[in-house]
Amino acid sequence: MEELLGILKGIRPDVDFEKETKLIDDSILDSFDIISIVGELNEHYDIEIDVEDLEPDNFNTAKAILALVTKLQED
Amino acid sequence: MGVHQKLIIADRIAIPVTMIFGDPSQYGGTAVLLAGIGYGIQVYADFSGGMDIARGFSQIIGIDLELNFTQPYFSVSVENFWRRWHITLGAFMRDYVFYPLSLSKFFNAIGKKSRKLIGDFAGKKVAPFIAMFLVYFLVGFWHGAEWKYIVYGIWNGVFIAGSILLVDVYAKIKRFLHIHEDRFLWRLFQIIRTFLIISFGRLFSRALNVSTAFSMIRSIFTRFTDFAYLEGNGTMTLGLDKWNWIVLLLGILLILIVDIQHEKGFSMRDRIAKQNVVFRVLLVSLAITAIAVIGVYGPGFDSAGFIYQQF
Repeated sequence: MEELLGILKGIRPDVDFEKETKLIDDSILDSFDIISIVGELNEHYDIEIDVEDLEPDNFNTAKAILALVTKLQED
Repeated sequence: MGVHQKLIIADRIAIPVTMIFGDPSQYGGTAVLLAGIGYGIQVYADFSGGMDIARGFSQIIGIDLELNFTQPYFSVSVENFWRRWHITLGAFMRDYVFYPLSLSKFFNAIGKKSRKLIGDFAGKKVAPFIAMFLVYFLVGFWHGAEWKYIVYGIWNGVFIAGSILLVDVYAKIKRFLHIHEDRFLWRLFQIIRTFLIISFGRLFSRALNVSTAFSMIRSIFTRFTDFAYLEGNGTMTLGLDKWNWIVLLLGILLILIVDIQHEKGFSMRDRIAKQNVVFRVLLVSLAITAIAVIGVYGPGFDSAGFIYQQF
Protein backbone atom coordinates (compact mmCIF):
# COMPACT_ATOMS: atom_id res chain seq x y z
CA MET A 1 0.00 0.00 0.00
CA GLU A 2 2.82 2.45 0.87
CA GLU A 3 4.30 1.95 -2.59
CA LEU A 4 0.95 2.67 -4.26
CA LEU A 5 0.33 5.74 -2.11
CA GLY A 6 3.75 7.03 -3.17
CA ILE A 7 2.78 6.69 -6.85
CA LEU A 8 -0.58 8.36 -6.32
CA LYS A 9 0.95 11.20 -4.31
CA GLY A 10 3.49 11.71 -7.10
CA ILE A 11 0.62 12.47 -9.48
CA ARG A 12 -1.68 14.41 -7.13
CA PRO A 13 0.28 15.62 -4.08
CA ASP A 14 -2.70 17.69 -2.94
CA VAL A 15 -5.00 14.68 -2.40
CA ASP A 16 -5.16 12.64 0.82
CA PHE A 17 -5.41 9.21 -0.79
CA GLU A 18 -5.52 7.45 2.58
CA LYS A 19 -8.70 9.21 3.65
CA GLU A 20 -10.64 9.93 0.46
CA THR A 21 -13.35 7.42 -0.36
CA LYS A 22 -14.96 9.12 -3.35
CA LEU A 23 -12.06 10.02 -5.58
CA ILE A 24 -14.20 9.62 -8.71
CA ASP A 25 -17.72 10.23 -7.38
CA ASP A 26 -16.66 13.58 -5.90
CA SER A 27 -14.64 14.49 -9.02
CA ILE A 28 -11.41 14.74 -7.00
CA LEU A 29 -9.59 12.93 -9.81
CA ASP A 30 -10.23 14.03 -13.38
CA SER A 31 -9.78 12.01 -16.56
CA PHE A 32 -6.21 13.29 -16.97
CA ASP A 33 -5.31 12.08 -13.47
CA ILE A 34 -6.84 8.69 -14.24
CA ILE A 35 -4.80 8.32 -17.43
CA SER A 36 -1.64 9.41 -15.56
CA ILE A 37 -2.33 6.96 -12.72
CA VAL A 38 -3.07 4.11 -15.13
CA GLY A 39 0.15 4.85 -17.06
CA GLU A 40 2.24 4.80 -13.88
CA LEU A 41 0.58 1.66 -12.52
CA ASN A 42 0.96 -0.20 -15.83
CA GLU A 43 4.64 0.61 -15.91
CA HIS A 44 5.44 0.13 -12.24
CA TYR A 45 3.57 -3.13 -11.72
CA ASP A 46 3.94 -4.44 -15.28
CA ILE A 47 0.20 -4.84 -15.71
CA GLU A 48 -2.26 -3.75 -18.37
CA ILE A 49 -5.24 -1.79 -17.09
CA ASP A 50 -7.88 -1.88 -19.78
CA VAL A 51 -10.65 0.62 -20.65
CA GLU A 52 -13.16 -1.82 -19.13
CA ASP A 53 -11.33 -1.51 -15.80
CA LEU A 54 -11.93 2.26 -15.67
CA GLU A 55 -14.98 1.89 -13.45
CA PRO A 56 -15.54 4.40 -10.62
CA ASP A 57 -15.58 1.50 -8.13
CA ASN A 58 -12.01 0.61 -9.11
CA PHE A 59 -10.70 4.13 -8.52
CA ASN A 60 -12.78 5.62 -5.72
CA THR A 61 -10.26 4.66 -3.01
CA ALA A 62 -6.57 3.76 -2.83
CA LYS A 63 -7.69 0.39 -1.44
CA ALA A 64 -9.83 -0.26 -4.54
CA ILE A 65 -6.94 0.72 -6.83
CA LEU A 66 -4.68 -1.69 -4.95
CA ALA A 67 -7.28 -4.44 -5.29
CA LEU A 68 -7.42 -3.84 -9.05
CA VAL A 69 -3.62 -3.96 -9.32
CA THR A 70 -3.46 -7.16 -7.27
CA LYS A 71 -6.20 -8.76 -9.38
CA LEU A 72 -4.43 -7.91 -12.63
CA GLN A 73 -1.11 -9.16 -11.28
CA GLU A 74 -2.73 -12.50 -10.43
CA ASP A 75 -4.41 -12.85 -13.86
CA MET B 1 -38.32 26.53 -14.30
CA GLY B 2 -37.32 25.20 -17.70
CA VAL B 3 -40.16 27.07 -19.42
CA HIS B 4 -39.15 30.22 -17.53
CA GLN B 5 -35.57 29.88 -18.77
CA LYS B 6 -36.67 29.26 -22.34
CA LEU B 7 -39.51 31.75 -22.78
CA ILE B 8 -38.59 34.56 -20.41
CA ILE B 9 -34.80 34.59 -20.72
CA ALA B 10 -33.49 32.72 -23.77
CA ASP B 11 -36.01 33.96 -26.33
CA ARG B 12 -35.83 37.52 -24.96
CA ILE B 13 -32.03 37.85 -24.79
CA ALA B 14 -31.86 36.31 -28.27
CA ILE B 15 -33.14 39.59 -29.71
CA PRO B 16 -30.18 41.89 -28.80
CA VAL B 17 -27.70 39.01 -29.22
CA THR B 18 -28.91 38.33 -32.77
CA MET B 19 -28.82 42.05 -33.54
CA ILE B 20 -25.19 42.49 -32.48
CA PHE B 21 -23.92 39.22 -33.97
CA GLY B 22 -25.75 40.14 -37.19
CA ASP B 23 -23.47 43.13 -37.80
CA PRO B 24 -20.84 43.33 -35.04
CA SER B 25 -18.76 46.02 -36.79
CA GLN B 26 -21.58 48.51 -36.09
CA TYR B 27 -21.11 48.21 -32.35
CA GLY B 28 -18.38 49.08 -29.86
CA GLY B 29 -16.30 46.62 -27.85
CA THR B 30 -18.56 46.75 -24.80
CA ALA B 31 -21.60 45.73 -26.85
CA VAL B 32 -19.64 42.91 -28.51
CA LEU B 33 -18.47 41.63 -25.11
CA LEU B 34 -22.03 41.83 -23.78
CA ALA B 35 -23.27 39.97 -26.85
CA GLY B 36 -20.76 37.19 -26.13
CA ILE B 37 -21.85 37.03 -22.50
CA GLY B 38 -25.50 37.35 -23.55
CA TYR B 39 -25.13 34.45 -25.99
CA GLY B 40 -23.67 32.36 -23.15
CA ILE B 41 -26.74 33.15 -21.05
CA GLN B 42 -29.03 32.47 -24.00
CA VAL B 43 -27.50 29.06 -24.75
CA TYR B 44 -27.60 28.07 -21.08
CA ALA B 45 -31.21 29.19 -20.60
CA ASP B 46 -32.24 27.59 -23.87
CA PHE B 47 -30.42 24.27 -23.48
CA SER B 48 -30.74 23.66 -19.74
CA GLY B 49 -34.29 25.06 -19.87
CA GLY B 50 -35.10 22.54 -22.59
CA MET B 51 -33.50 19.77 -20.53
CA ASP B 52 -35.50 20.77 -17.45
CA ILE B 53 -38.72 20.59 -19.48
CA ALA B 54 -37.70 17.17 -20.82
CA ARG B 55 -36.76 15.95 -17.31
CA GLY B 56 -40.04 17.25 -15.91
CA PHE B 57 -42.13 15.44 -18.51
CA SER B 58 -40.06 12.29 -18.08
CA GLN B 59 -40.59 12.31 -14.33
CA ILE B 60 -44.35 12.52 -14.90
CA ILE B 61 -44.16 9.16 -16.67
CA GLY B 62 -41.73 7.73 -14.13
CA ILE B 63 -38.43 8.13 -15.98
CA ASP B 64 -35.57 9.92 -14.21
CA LEU B 65 -33.25 11.48 -16.78
CA GLU B 66 -29.66 12.28 -15.79
CA LEU B 67 -28.73 15.87 -15.01
CA ASN B 68 -27.03 17.50 -17.99
CA PHE B 69 -25.94 20.71 -16.22
CA THR B 70 -24.67 21.40 -12.71
CA GLN B 71 -24.37 25.20 -12.46
CA PRO B 72 -21.72 25.38 -15.23
CA TYR B 73 -21.19 29.13 -14.87
CA PHE B 74 -19.85 28.61 -11.36
CA SER B 75 -16.96 26.58 -12.80
CA VAL B 76 -13.51 27.51 -11.55
CA SER B 77 -11.65 26.29 -14.65
CA VAL B 78 -12.38 25.36 -18.26
CA GLU B 79 -11.83 21.70 -17.39
CA ASN B 80 -14.31 22.07 -14.51
CA PHE B 81 -16.77 23.75 -16.90
CA TRP B 82 -16.81 20.77 -19.22
CA ARG B 83 -17.64 18.50 -16.31
CA ARG B 84 -20.68 20.67 -15.53
CA TRP B 85 -21.89 21.61 -19.03
CA HIS B 86 -23.59 19.11 -21.33
CA ILE B 87 -22.44 16.35 -19.00
CA THR B 88 -23.78 13.52 -21.16
CA LEU B 89 -21.70 14.64 -24.16
CA GLY B 90 -18.59 15.01 -21.99
CA ALA B 91 -19.09 11.57 -20.45
CA PHE B 92 -19.60 10.04 -23.88
CA MET B 93 -16.42 11.65 -25.22
CA ARG B 94 -14.46 10.58 -22.13
CA ASP B 95 -15.63 6.96 -22.17
CA TYR B 96 -15.71 6.35 -25.91
CA VAL B 97 -12.92 8.57 -27.25
CA PHE B 98 -10.50 9.86 -24.57
CA TYR B 99 -9.98 6.72 -22.49
CA PRO B 100 -9.86 4.18 -25.34
CA LEU B 101 -7.44 6.35 -27.33
CA SER B 102 -5.21 7.21 -24.36
CA LEU B 103 -4.93 3.57 -23.33
CA SER B 104 -4.46 2.19 -26.85
CA LYS B 105 -1.17 0.52 -27.79
CA PHE B 106 -0.52 3.16 -30.45
CA PHE B 107 -0.87 6.03 -27.96
CA ASN B 108 1.18 4.09 -25.44
CA ALA B 109 3.98 3.89 -28.01
CA ILE B 110 3.67 7.63 -28.69
CA GLY B 111 3.94 8.25 -24.93
CA LYS B 112 7.12 6.16 -24.59
CA LYS B 113 8.74 7.80 -27.59
CA SER B 114 7.92 11.33 -26.49
CA ARG B 115 9.28 10.68 -22.98
CA LYS B 116 12.58 9.64 -24.53
CA LEU B 117 12.63 12.70 -26.75
CA ILE B 118 11.47 15.50 -24.45
CA GLY B 119 11.77 14.11 -20.95
CA ASP B 120 9.40 12.68 -18.37
CA PHE B 121 7.24 15.68 -17.42
CA ALA B 122 6.19 16.85 -20.89
CA GLY B 123 6.62 13.45 -22.55
CA LYS B 124 4.01 11.82 -20.34
CA LYS B 125 1.48 14.42 -21.43
CA VAL B 126 1.89 14.14 -25.19
CA ALA B 127 -0.38 11.12 -25.75
CA PRO B 128 -3.26 12.28 -23.49
CA PHE B 129 -2.96 15.77 -25.00
CA ILE B 130 -3.37 14.40 -28.53
CA ALA B 131 -6.40 12.42 -27.32
CA MET B 132 -7.80 15.50 -25.58
CA PHE B 133 -7.40 17.74 -28.63
CA LEU B 134 -9.11 15.09 -30.71
CA VAL B 135 -11.98 15.11 -28.19
CA TYR B 136 -12.36 18.91 -28.45
CA PHE B 137 -12.02 18.74 -32.22
CA LEU B 138 -14.94 16.28 -32.18
CA VAL B 139 -16.90 18.43 -29.71
CA GLY B 140 -16.51 21.33 -32.17
CA PHE B 141 -17.31 19.15 -35.17
CA TRP B 142 -20.36 17.79 -33.36
CA HIS B 143 -21.77 21.35 -33.34
CA GLY B 144 -21.35 21.65 -37.10
CA ALA B 145 -19.03 20.89 -39.99
CA GLU B 146 -17.57 24.40 -40.14
CA TRP B 147 -14.18 25.78 -39.16
CA LYS B 148 -15.74 28.15 -36.62
CA TYR B 149 -17.02 25.19 -34.59
CA ILE B 150 -13.68 23.40 -34.83
CA VAL B 151 -11.91 26.55 -33.55
CA TYR B 152 -14.48 26.76 -30.74
CA GLY B 153 -13.67 23.19 -29.71
CA ILE B 154 -9.90 23.62 -29.95
CA TRP B 155 -10.10 26.94 -28.03
CA ASN B 156 -11.28 24.97 -24.98
CA GLY B 157 -8.59 22.34 -25.44
CA VAL B 158 -5.86 25.01 -25.55
CA PHE B 159 -6.87 26.44 -22.16
CA ILE B 160 -7.10 23.01 -20.53
CA ALA B 161 -3.69 22.01 -21.93
CA GLY B 162 -2.25 25.34 -20.73
CA SER B 163 -3.59 24.87 -17.21
CA ILE B 164 -2.01 21.39 -17.00
CA LEU B 165 1.36 22.40 -18.46
CA LEU B 166 1.65 25.57 -16.39
CA VAL B 167 0.47 24.07 -13.10
CA ASP B 168 3.85 24.71 -11.40
CA VAL B 169 4.01 28.28 -12.74
CA TYR B 170 0.51 29.00 -11.41
CA ALA B 171 1.45 27.51 -8.03
CA LYS B 172 4.51 29.80 -7.84
CA ILE B 173 2.46 32.87 -8.80
CA LYS B 174 -0.15 31.99 -6.17
CA ARG B 175 2.54 31.57 -3.51
CA PHE B 176 4.20 34.83 -4.56
CA LEU B 177 0.90 36.74 -4.37
CA HIS B 178 -0.08 35.00 -1.10
CA ILE B 179 -3.32 33.75 -2.64
CA HIS B 180 -5.38 31.42 -0.47
CA GLU B 181 -7.42 29.07 -2.63
CA ASP B 182 -10.28 28.81 -0.15
CA ARG B 183 -10.94 32.55 -0.10
CA PHE B 184 -14.21 33.71 -1.63
CA LEU B 185 -12.56 36.47 -3.69
CA TRP B 186 -10.16 34.01 -5.31
CA ARG B 187 -13.01 31.68 -6.18
CA LEU B 188 -14.98 34.60 -7.59
CA PHE B 189 -11.98 35.58 -9.71
CA GLN B 190 -11.71 31.99 -10.99
CA ILE B 191 -15.43 31.91 -11.84
CA ILE B 192 -15.33 35.23 -13.73
CA ARG B 193 -12.11 34.27 -15.54
CA THR B 194 -13.59 30.91 -16.64
CA PHE B 195 -16.85 32.55 -17.70
CA LEU B 196 -14.97 35.06 -19.86
CA ILE B 197 -12.78 32.38 -21.48
CA ILE B 198 -15.89 30.35 -22.29
CA SER B 199 -17.72 33.45 -23.58
CA PHE B 200 -14.81 34.43 -25.84
CA GLY B 201 -14.75 30.87 -27.18
CA ARG B 202 -18.46 31.06 -27.86
CA LEU B 203 -17.90 34.06 -30.13
CA PHE B 204 -16.46 31.55 -32.60
CA SER B 205 -19.46 29.26 -32.51
CA ARG B 206 -21.98 32.11 -32.84
CA ALA B 207 -20.19 34.49 -35.22
CA LEU B 208 -20.68 34.24 -38.95
CA ASN B 209 -17.21 32.76 -39.42
CA VAL B 210 -13.75 32.54 -37.82
CA SER B 211 -12.47 35.87 -39.14
CA THR B 212 -15.59 37.70 -37.86
CA ALA B 213 -15.05 36.11 -34.45
CA PHE B 214 -11.42 37.29 -34.40
CA SER B 215 -12.43 40.82 -35.38
CA MET B 216 -15.06 40.75 -32.61
CA ILE B 217 -12.39 39.80 -30.06
CA ARG B 218 -10.14 42.53 -31.47
CA SER B 219 -13.01 44.98 -31.13
CA ILE B 220 -13.47 44.09 -27.44
CA PHE B 221 -9.88 45.15 -26.76
CA THR B 222 -9.47 48.04 -29.20
CA ARG B 223 -12.94 49.60 -29.25
CA PHE B 224 -14.01 48.95 -25.68
CA THR B 225 -14.80 52.58 -24.99
CA ASP B 226 -16.33 53.24 -28.40
CA PHE B 227 -19.92 54.16 -27.59
CA ALA B 228 -20.65 56.00 -30.83
CA TYR B 229 -23.27 53.39 -31.73
CA LEU B 230 -25.41 54.57 -28.80
CA GLU B 231 -25.94 58.03 -30.19
CA GLY B 232 -29.58 58.59 -30.89
CA ASN B 233 -30.13 56.06 -33.65
CA GLY B 234 -32.40 53.81 -31.65
CA THR B 235 -29.91 50.95 -31.42
CA MET B 236 -29.43 51.71 -27.73
CA THR B 237 -32.39 49.55 -26.88
CA LEU B 238 -31.01 46.71 -29.03
CA GLY B 239 -34.50 45.54 -29.92
CA LEU B 240 -35.87 45.51 -26.36
CA ASP B 241 -37.68 48.31 -24.59
CA LYS B 242 -37.01 49.30 -20.98
CA TRP B 243 -39.69 47.00 -19.59
CA ASN B 244 -38.28 44.00 -21.46
CA TRP B 245 -34.75 44.75 -20.22
CA ILE B 246 -36.05 44.84 -16.63
CA VAL B 247 -37.90 41.53 -17.09
CA LEU B 248 -34.79 39.99 -18.65
CA LEU B 249 -32.48 41.13 -15.84
CA LEU B 250 -34.93 39.96 -13.17
CA GLY B 251 -35.27 36.61 -14.94
CA ILE B 252 -31.48 36.20 -15.00
CA LEU B 253 -31.33 37.21 -11.33
CA LEU B 254 -33.87 34.51 -10.47
CA ILE B 255 -31.82 31.84 -12.28
CA LEU B 256 -28.70 33.11 -10.50
CA ILE B 257 -30.37 32.81 -7.09
CA VAL B 258 -31.63 29.29 -7.88
CA ASP B 259 -28.20 28.23 -9.15
CA ILE B 260 -26.49 29.63 -6.04
CA GLN B 261 -28.87 27.57 -3.89
CA HIS B 262 -28.15 24.44 -5.95
CA GLU B 263 -24.42 25.14 -5.73
CA LYS B 264 -24.74 25.24 -1.94
CA GLY B 265 -26.43 21.85 -2.09
CA PHE B 266 -30.00 23.02 -1.45
CA SER B 267 -32.73 21.68 -3.70
CA MET B 268 -35.28 24.39 -4.48
CA ARG B 269 -37.71 21.72 -5.56
CA ASP B 270 -37.49 19.88 -2.23
CA ARG B 271 -37.88 23.15 -0.36
CA ILE B 272 -41.01 24.06 -2.32
CA ALA B 273 -42.38 20.53 -1.92
CA LYS B 274 -42.14 20.93 1.88
CA GLN B 275 -44.37 24.04 1.85
CA ASN B 276 -48.11 23.77 2.40
CA VAL B 277 -50.44 23.12 -0.50
CA VAL B 278 -51.85 26.67 -0.67
CA PHE B 279 -48.38 28.14 -1.05
CA ARG B 280 -47.49 25.61 -3.75
CA VAL B 281 -50.68 26.24 -5.73
CA LEU B 282 -50.09 29.99 -5.52
CA LEU B 283 -46.48 29.63 -6.62
CA VAL B 284 -47.34 27.43 -9.59
CA SER B 285 -50.18 29.78 -10.60
CA LEU B 286 -47.81 32.75 -10.34
CA ALA B 287 -45.20 30.97 -12.46
CA ILE B 288 -47.75 30.05 -15.15
CA THR B 289 -49.13 33.60 -15.17
CA ALA B 290 -45.61 35.06 -15.42
CA ILE B 291 -44.81 32.82 -18.38
CA ALA B 292 -48.12 33.68 -20.07
CA VAL B 293 -47.73 37.44 -19.50
CA ILE B 294 -44.01 38.03 -19.92
CA GLY B 295 -42.91 35.01 -21.93
CA VAL B 296 -41.60 35.77 -25.41
CA TYR B 297 -43.85 33.99 -27.90
CA GLY B 298 -46.43 34.65 -30.53
CA PRO B 299 -46.04 35.88 -34.12
CA GLY B 300 -42.45 36.75 -34.96
CA PHE B 301 -40.95 34.64 -32.21
CA ASP B 302 -39.68 31.14 -32.70
CA SER B 303 -40.45 29.92 -29.22
CA ALA B 304 -40.73 26.31 -30.38
CA GLY B 305 -37.17 26.16 -31.68
CA PHE B 306 -34.27 25.22 -29.41
CA ILE B 307 -30.72 26.23 -30.33
CA TYR B 308 -29.43 22.71 -29.71
CA GLN B 309 -31.94 21.25 -32.15
CA GLN B 310 -29.55 22.23 -34.91
CA PHE B 311 -26.54 20.50 -33.28
